[in-house]
Amino acid sequence: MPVLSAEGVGKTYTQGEAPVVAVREVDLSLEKAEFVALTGPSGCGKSTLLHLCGGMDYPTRGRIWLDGTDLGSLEEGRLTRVRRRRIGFVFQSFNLLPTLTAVENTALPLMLDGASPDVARRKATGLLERLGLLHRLDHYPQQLSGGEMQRVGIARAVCHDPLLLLADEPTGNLDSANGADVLELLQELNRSLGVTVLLATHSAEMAAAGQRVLHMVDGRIESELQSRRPIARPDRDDEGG
Amino acid sequence: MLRRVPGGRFGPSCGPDVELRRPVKFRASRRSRPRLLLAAALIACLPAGAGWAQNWRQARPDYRLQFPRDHASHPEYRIEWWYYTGNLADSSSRRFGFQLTFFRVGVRARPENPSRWAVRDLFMAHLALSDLETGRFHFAERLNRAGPGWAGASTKTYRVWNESWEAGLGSDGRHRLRARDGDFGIDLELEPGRRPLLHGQAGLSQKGSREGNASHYYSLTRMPTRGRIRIDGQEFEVGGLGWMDHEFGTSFLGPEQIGWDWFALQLDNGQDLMLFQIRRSDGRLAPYSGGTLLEASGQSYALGGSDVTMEPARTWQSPHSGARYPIQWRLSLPGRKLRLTVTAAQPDQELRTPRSTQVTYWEGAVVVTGTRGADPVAGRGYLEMTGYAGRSMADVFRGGSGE
Amino acid sequence: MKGDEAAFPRPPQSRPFVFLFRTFILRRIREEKLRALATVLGVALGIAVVLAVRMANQSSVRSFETALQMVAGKTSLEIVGPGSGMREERLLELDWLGRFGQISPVIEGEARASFPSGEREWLKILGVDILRDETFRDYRLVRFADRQEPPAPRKFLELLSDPGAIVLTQKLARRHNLDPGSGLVLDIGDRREALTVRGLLLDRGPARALNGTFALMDIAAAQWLLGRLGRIDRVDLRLKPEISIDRAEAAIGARLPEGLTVQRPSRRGRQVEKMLEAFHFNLTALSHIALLVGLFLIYNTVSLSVITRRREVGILRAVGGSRRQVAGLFLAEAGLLAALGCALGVLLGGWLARGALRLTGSTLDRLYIRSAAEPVSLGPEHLVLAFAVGIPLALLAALVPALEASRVAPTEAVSGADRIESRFRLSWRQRWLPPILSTLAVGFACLDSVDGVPLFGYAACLAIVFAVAFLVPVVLHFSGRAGSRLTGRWTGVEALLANANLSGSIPRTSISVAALAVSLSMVTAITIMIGSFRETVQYWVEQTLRADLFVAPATRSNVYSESTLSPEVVRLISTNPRVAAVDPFNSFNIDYRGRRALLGSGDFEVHLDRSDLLFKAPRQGRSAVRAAIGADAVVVSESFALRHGKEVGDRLELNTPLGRRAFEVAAVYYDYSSDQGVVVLDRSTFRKYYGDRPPRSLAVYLEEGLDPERVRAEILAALPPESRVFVHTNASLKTEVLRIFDNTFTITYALEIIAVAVAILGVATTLVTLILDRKPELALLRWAGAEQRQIRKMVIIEAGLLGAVSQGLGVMAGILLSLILVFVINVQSFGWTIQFHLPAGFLLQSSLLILLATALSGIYPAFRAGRMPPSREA
Repeated sequence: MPVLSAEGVGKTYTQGEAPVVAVREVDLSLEKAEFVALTGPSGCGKSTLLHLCGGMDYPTRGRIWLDGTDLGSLEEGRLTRVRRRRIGFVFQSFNLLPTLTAVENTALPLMLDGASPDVARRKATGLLERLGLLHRLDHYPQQLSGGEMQRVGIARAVCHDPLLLLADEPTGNLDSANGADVLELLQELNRSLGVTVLLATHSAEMAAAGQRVLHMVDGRIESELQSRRPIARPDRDDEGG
Repeated sequence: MLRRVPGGRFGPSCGPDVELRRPVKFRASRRSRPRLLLAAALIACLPAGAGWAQNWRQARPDYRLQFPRDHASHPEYRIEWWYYTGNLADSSSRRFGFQLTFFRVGVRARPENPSRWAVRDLFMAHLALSDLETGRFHFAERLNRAGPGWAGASTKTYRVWNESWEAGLGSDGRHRLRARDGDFGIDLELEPGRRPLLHGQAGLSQKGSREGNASHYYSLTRMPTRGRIRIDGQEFEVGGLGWMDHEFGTSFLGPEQIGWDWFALQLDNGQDLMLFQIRRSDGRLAPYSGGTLLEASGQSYALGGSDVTMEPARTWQSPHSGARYPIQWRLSLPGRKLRLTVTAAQPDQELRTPRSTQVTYWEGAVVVTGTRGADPVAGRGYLEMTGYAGRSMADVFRGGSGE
Repeated sequence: MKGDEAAFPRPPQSRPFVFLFRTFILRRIREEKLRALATVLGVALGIAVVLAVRMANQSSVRSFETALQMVAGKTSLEIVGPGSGMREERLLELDWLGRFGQISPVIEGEARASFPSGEREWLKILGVDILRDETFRDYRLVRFADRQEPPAPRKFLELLSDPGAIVLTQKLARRHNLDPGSGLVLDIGDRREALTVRGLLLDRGPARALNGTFALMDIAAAQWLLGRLGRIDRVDLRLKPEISIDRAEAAIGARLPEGLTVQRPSRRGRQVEKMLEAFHFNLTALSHIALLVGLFLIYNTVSLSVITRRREVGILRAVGGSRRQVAGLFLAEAGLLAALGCALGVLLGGWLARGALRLTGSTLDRLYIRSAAEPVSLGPEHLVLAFAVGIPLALLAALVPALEASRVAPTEAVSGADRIESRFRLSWRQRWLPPILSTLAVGFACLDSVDGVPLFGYAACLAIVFAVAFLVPVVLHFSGRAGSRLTGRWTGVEALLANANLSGSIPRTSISVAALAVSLSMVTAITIMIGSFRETVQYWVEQTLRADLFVAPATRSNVYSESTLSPEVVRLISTNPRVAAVDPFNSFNIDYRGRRALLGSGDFEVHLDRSDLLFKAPRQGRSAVRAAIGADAVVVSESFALRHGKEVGDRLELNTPLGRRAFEVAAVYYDYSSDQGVVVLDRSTFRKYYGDRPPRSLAVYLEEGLDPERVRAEILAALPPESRVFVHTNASLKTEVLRIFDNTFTITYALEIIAVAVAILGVATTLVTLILDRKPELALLRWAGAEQRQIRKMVIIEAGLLGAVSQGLGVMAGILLSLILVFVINVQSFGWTIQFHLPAGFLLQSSLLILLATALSGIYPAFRAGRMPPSREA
């Protein structure tokens, strides 16, 4: 059974008078421990598709199953809990909460789910140690560098052992060295944790890291590429996702 | 009744509660009269303006008592009381003793305050009933100013009242007594009986060497009595003999007494006898003792201290106050060949007034047996004993006047 | 489907909540101490004002009631006359009461004592027959303290029987260094009397009442001293224990002779409570304005918090925070601020209560009843009130923004989506609620009072207030447009920017503007109401106070005062050759249907000849009054007519010493001296039913052409030296009336100022938040070349603009509110007509002041904004 599968998924926003179709008729299937890249130009619907897959929004058409659960059929509360327990999300702009320290940010999904503070902290600490941030545990986001922040963001995304890790232009706000580190980290986690990764990027170099590369244009997946290309250093990229 | 003790519920530390009744004729003019003492104590309680005496009339030898006129009140004198005691029985010979006393004590002869509530006189009354069959003793008291007419004593005809208690003279010449407190009370008619016995010299009884230091005093010693009494809500038709005293005056006596013992006895041979002794702090009794004997013939004899001996016999300790009272006395009047034993008809006839005067005294019905010469005599009467409980009467007196 | 509850059970809620509260809320509050402080302070002030007013109100009622209870002692019922007591002979008609228990006649009065230190205090004098009274009340004299028993009545009588004797409380004696034997000077009515302290009461029983200002006298001495010979005030009855009060009350009531009534002592307390009810209710309502504004502040703070943290909320939602958790967090923030505010408010309230009590106390003295109010101390009741009212209301206020936060979508976490604050558009709420609420307001305004309390009047006010609140965004929107046209041309670039900034942040600013507008509207309304009232009273005084001189006892503190003029004073003045006519006014308090009213008598003849009442009805008031002379007819004041629903031609029943009698209402006149109502009889009618009573005041008319000041001096010189009489000339009395009037409203202004202060605090916090929120824009401005000075100026102009809009709205709404106050609330609460009057000058001044104050409130935010460095990255 695929970890994630989508069937005829579409999303239409109503903004002002004219409806905007962000995603149309997407079919998708991700297997366990797969690393899949999603590419396409800015505005092609990558982010929206990621949100739909991550249970952050409801599709207006079609269905999405996560580990056999139809996300569209869940009411808001359950969907939130699915998000909290099964999904990790890495954002381009890190999205750490400014009033939480690195370890608190990392432990946030566990804490939200009612884990005991000790357990959550131990787990988060272990993870951050693994990412080389042991000396930053109790620092607030504004005391961290961009690369560090994104590493905390990744730690938070995997801290609760999600099935699916969604990364939306995770290197978009980083310089190339840091970007490469982050990509490497995602791959490493994919391998070691067996977590399925769906990585949205507009950069072909980044996409090359994927076992499969899905290319989106205008809300549709236009083509799929099986690739085993070595990872290239991505270019610096200042386009928003 | 408390004859001598008017302070009963009224004045706490004030005085007197002492009053003894006084024998009729005293040769020694400095003798004090018990009842007047009581009144004196009452006066001591009140703020006495200097020279108050000028506002009150003094007793005068030229005053002639007339009846029924002089039963009525004499507000120009400072102190006045009417008091009734008696032994009664119902048709089944159940016996009772009663006491009803009204006091009027002048405070200010002419109050400057025009208010009707201004205190010219204080009116007090005591009511007691001894239920000799059950041994129970009931007593109550009243204290009022005249106010809008709550208490008073009229001057035209004889009527004295305190709230609903009253005594007065009916058109038929009988004395009418009515008093009730809660579930006990009396409603009696008393015939005058013998003509009034004037004490002292034609009713003027001298108490000090100074002119005016005296009072007007008479008694009705043997009054056939009928009526109803009520005890615990139960009514009894009763009859018997009553005794009335009425005294008024202005001056009062000095204060060395700790208490007194006073007797009013009606004997079955027609003799009526009043005796008293004043106990002083130094233990001497003389010269403050004496009495009056009224023969059946109407002849009266004043008795001096040397004419009488009084010996306490049995005593009774009050469970209420702890005081020990002689409830049996042996009286001897050798000059009259009288030897009498006077025994309380029941031991507990103690009146306690802790709330007001803090004076406790014993007053109650007595039974008399004895001999006159060789003839046996019997009788009934009333006995009053003060100064046995708590402070001595002299203390009371001093406390009251020592402001 | 698999996504069922079993698969995604709800986790325990407390752990995540505690964690989030600590990290998400507390840490933010720590960063924003100032804003939190402002909010806490706002709530604290609101709570404090409510508590203070409540405590002050309680103090006045309670001190009266506890005094009543303490003095009543074991009295279970009391027999009262038809007003001002009864003739003492009537006691003889009450002999049969002995069956129910003991009775004790009582004289009660007041006197002002002057102490050697020069201090003065009012004493309540109780005159009793101690021989009877001793079982009613617990008196313990210091002299007999060793026994801890009440002194025997005869002993007591000894202390009291001298007509100059008085017994004071030990507490009072200590305060003024008095001992038994000391002299005491009392002003009673229009006389000064010297008495002697004959004893001191230990602090128990009635001596505990009134902070020790209790004095005991013999009934005879009290009658004489208080000028009540032949009268007693009431008869206290102590029932036998086995008799139930209800049964006794019914049985006694059925048997009492004409003119006497039986009642429980507490009735007098309820009567006073009722009398003060409207006054207290209005104060309470007023105090709630500050609370309301404080709650607006909570709403404001939480809203701002939500608006500025939308993105963080999005993150929280994206990583799995539930809606419930999000809403809970913001509610908790509100709860925390409110709890702190309440705690601070309680402390502050206890402190403010003294001030409030002083202000209300003097008003009560002047208008209703002399109160020796001891401040109620802060009790659990007040804590409960503060927290049980403050916190739930704060949560309620925070509910809307908290729910809004919970609706933030997880996708808003995504960069760029946080600034979705779209262009302002009118929502249905803004479109429809103002007209709906206004209609409601009109409807409420037409409804009657509820038992004398204008609940619907206040509901109407509330509706207007909310209408204003919802109208604010609309007004901001349009004023922003209008402003952009004006500012550019007339002022510098700073004003242009300021205007643009405000137009761009309507949702954020409208809350603060609403709070300020609402509080300003209330201030405006109350100012208009008071101004109108003052004009009306001034006109009334001009029209009706026609006498040349007014004479009253110096101890008369208000219209209900029972002080009288002594016959000697009346005689001296009436026979003065320069006096043309004297109109003696006589009055006493009666109980009309459970409510206090004033029954008065005047000389209608003199009045018609020389004075001018303003009649409400009938048209021919004067002839109606003339017809009432000698008839069983009365003239009633407007407030009486309104309170009891009486109109001309109606009959009203009065309890007279001769029994109940019906009187026809001949006319209704305007009167502002008593909101409880006045019933006036002509002297002849009064005398027929109530007998002769000494007058409480005299209106004196002089012969033509005399100088009232000179005659006044002559009259005063002719009075006996111990007289204590106020003689006012017409002019000085008018001045005095207005002075009292102005004093009365001091507390009103104080409450208003607090509310405005809280609202301005709200504006300041809003501005700070706006600045913080606009950091990038400000940085951009700096980067584009704006100087610090220009930024500061811009912010201050923004603040001023907010103030201007608020005041503009406030004045408009205030005029509406004042109409309700004048024509609904006042009429229902106090029963009098006020002529509407717009104090334009004051409104102009206050508007400028508000503009200035709000602009000043922009100073701090301005400096913060100015300090922001030009950013490296916009």
